[in-house]
Amino acid sequence: MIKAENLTKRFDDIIAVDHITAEIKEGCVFGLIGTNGSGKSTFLRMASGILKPDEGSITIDGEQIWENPKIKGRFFYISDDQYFFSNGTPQELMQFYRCLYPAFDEKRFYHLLDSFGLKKDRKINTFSKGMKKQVSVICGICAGTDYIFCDETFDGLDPVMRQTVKSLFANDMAERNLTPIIASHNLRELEDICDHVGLLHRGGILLSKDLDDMKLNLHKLQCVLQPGMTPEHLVALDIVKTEQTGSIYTLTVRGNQEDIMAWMASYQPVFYELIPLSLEEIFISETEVAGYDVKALIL
Amino acid sequence: MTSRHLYFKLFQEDVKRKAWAAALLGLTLFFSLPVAMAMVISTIREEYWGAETAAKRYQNVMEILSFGDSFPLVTMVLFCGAVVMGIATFSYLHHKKQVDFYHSLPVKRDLQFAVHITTGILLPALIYLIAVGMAVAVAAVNGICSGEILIAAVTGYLANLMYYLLVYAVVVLAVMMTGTMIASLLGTAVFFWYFLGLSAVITAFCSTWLDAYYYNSPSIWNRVLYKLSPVWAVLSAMSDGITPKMAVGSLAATVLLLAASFLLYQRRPSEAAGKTMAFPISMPIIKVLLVILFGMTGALFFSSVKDSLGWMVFGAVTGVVISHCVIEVIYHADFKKLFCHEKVMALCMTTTLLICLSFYFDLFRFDTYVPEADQVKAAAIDFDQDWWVAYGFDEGSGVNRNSTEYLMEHGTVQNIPALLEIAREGVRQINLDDENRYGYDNISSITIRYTLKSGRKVYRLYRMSLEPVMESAEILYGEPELKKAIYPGLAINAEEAAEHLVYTENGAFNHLSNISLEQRRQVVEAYQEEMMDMSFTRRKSECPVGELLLISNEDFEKIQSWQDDWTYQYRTYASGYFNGYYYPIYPSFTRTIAALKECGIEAGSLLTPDQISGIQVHIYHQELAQASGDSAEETTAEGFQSGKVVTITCTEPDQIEEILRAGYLYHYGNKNSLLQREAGYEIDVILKNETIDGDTNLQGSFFKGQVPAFVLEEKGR
Repeated sequence: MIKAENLTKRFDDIIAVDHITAEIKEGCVFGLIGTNGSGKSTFLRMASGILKPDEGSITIDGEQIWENPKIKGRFFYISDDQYFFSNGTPQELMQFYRCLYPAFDEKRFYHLLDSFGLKKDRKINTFSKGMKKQVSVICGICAGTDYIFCDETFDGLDPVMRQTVKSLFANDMAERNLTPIIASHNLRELEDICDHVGLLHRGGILLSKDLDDMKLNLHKLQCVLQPGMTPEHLVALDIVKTEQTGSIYTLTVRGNQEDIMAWMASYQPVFYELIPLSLEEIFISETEVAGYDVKALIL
Repeated sequence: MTSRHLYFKLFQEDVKRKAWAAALLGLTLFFSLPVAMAMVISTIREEYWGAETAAKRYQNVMEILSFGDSFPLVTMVLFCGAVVMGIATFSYLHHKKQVDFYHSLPVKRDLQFAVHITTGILLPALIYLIAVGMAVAVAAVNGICSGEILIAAVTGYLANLMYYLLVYAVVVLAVMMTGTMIASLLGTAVFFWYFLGLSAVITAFCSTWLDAYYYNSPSIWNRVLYKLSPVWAVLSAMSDGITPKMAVGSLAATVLLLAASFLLYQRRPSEAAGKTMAFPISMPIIKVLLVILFGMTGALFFSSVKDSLGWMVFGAVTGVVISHCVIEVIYHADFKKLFCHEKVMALCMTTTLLICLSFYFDLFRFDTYVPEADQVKAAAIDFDQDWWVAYGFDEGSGVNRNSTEYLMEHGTVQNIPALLEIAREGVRQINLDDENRYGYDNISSITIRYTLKSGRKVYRLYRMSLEPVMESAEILYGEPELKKAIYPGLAINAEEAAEHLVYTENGAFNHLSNISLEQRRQVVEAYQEEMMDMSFTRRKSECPVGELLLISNEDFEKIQSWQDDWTYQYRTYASGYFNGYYYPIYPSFTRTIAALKECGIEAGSLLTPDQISGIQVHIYHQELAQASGDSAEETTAEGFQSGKVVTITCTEPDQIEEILRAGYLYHYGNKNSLLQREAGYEIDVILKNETIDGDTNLQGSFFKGQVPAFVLEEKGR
């Protein structure tokens, strides 16, 4: 488990990460979401042992990451702009990583290279941006580490490749309990892969929750009420947000699905139904509750 | 994976990354060593014949393989190679992408540093070794191979590698402290030149504004500071050779620099990549040190162009402002930051001006300092009246010892009050304006060293005339120990000196080879006693009549060993190397002259009236010069050129004799700087036959107040 406690990093007079406390459990996909400059990359760079925290600590299973090769050998970091040796080929890169990660799966590396249509002896600097990301992801997956840190890795991958990578992650999660930590500024990109999300804003963490918990506890209800009734009359419901289009109300309601349906039935509305919430909508609701305009933050 | 195993794996990978730098160095060394060797051997084969070819080829092969300034190309290539390799080794620290890559790997920073640093050392060491091997092979193929050559190759290799390491360590430290390649190069330049520059500027300040400053007085800036420059270390090693002390110093400096780099690498924040300076704390320190130096340089530059307080201040202010602005722009990589940190700039300016003004006005009373007698434990003096004396050879460089340095160590005086009186007169003369100061005859540079009871050694140099304190000067000059220090020939055992005794007069040398050692010893003893009794006052009116060679076995053998290396024509007692060992015989040295007579030598008789066909006396007419508007200070030489000279030619024997009695020849007089001549006269002695040196006429002048009456009459016409 990765644990950040009171984690803080300053660059001159800018606070990039501001007293973040969070936990990332093994075996789940952790999505780190935030706008540019929100501190996602800085958080990941501290998690990778690149940056030394100014305050607080970040540990993996209770051990500090900074200058700890044993712990650093448990993760693979893919930066948003990964460095490749000049004139290096995927094969040479693999040989380098193989020295550092004892569990590196060479056979799988070649297999994946073939699957992705990448030549092992072509110079990486002749690859496109997306192809370079594919090489990084392949290296990361084959490194055999417990964690893989991806900073904006999906940015630049085409939808097919994105799905392929996601399925690779899913496969490794199932097979060897891999924990991907994915930082992105794009909510839609993470919607179908993340189990847990952390929302960063201006260096601070706004929320960190299980997506399922949020989905189970937050619902969108569309209804047409009895004449003379308004959502204020639905006192039994924990309404987070109300929108009205003519006589149709769209309510975001917190609570158990069965309870909500039972209560709605008791109000005898003209019409009502539950519709699924997107990750984006969950965040809008959650962050608006926290007093933020999430549209301005993320979308 | 064990860290050793990982080290070798990473080392292999790093070698691949540095392949371009290795190739560049290899190519340059290939042309500098084996190719240069082949070309030199081939050129000698075409230009020399016979035995000379073999000797010349051997000498050139030795020069190419050895460390030194006879073939500096390899050292220069390795110097540049160290800069390139130092920058290339840790260049990844300048790029965020690369820093993220390397620092996210499961490798400790210690190991990463070790891998990178050793690649930058072992790779060039191997390439250079191959190049040396190839050069030796080229020489061997051409039939030039010996144990001496192999030793030269090995020692040359080790010496060059040692200085490669030193320069490399300096560059690595500069890289550690900076975050961009440009900043690293600038930092390297600062490390290379800062201490040399600082030493030069402080020395120039002292020389320019402190009248009593002795340029060679030991101080931190002229004994230590410049030695901190790796450029100086390499150049001095090349020119003077490497002493064990230098080698140890160089290796110790390398180790310290690498240790400092290691500590900085461990503490270096990854986010420093792309910033000018990696450690913000170093920024103001480096800036202040540089800005003050540039301010002082500005003050010095403008003062040298126009010597005035105003221009000095202008130079200091512009130096500070310009350098501060430039450094701020470099630090922030932003021209708009030109005038930021104005408080630091003000601090630098205040400090620089304080330094400049304290020198200009001598606020620390350097010039007027004279210690109290009870503060002085010991003292030494150099009267600067005997420029010609040789004081042996420097052990390190082998060149002649500096006379003042020697006398400061050995010219100890007993009478401290007399010495302090001379010092006080020196201080008084500093404050005289030029007209009054140069009203004295014989201005010389009197250097004094006080050893205070606190143990501190204080040096002062006064440009002064001894006339007002001649009594005190005579007391000191009469002290036997000081006299022996001034004239080492007087301290040599008479028998030892007699072994090499030579008499010379007017270019002729008498080796006294037929004279018994005992007789020669008597000459030496007589001379040593009479010279011990010689005074400044007597020297004013006596012109030497001949010279005696007084040299120790040690110095004699040293000069002989050098002469053996050169061509035959220099292997004589006439060699310039012996000049400082020929001591002047004054006419009042009657015992010496008598002892020489016993040996069959008539001192002062080599130039007799019958050898002279005539004497021309050139009389400078000051009145004529003044009438035409020239100043009275203008020399006779000036008068001669402008035609205000009357020349009379004397051919009568009695006139020639009278002139010879009243005058002296410069050839003899040049070893007595106290000799007082009559201004406004010069004589030209025209010989019937050439001298040994091939001269047909000899120049001279009249003793002060002894111009013959017939000459004065001629002048009065």
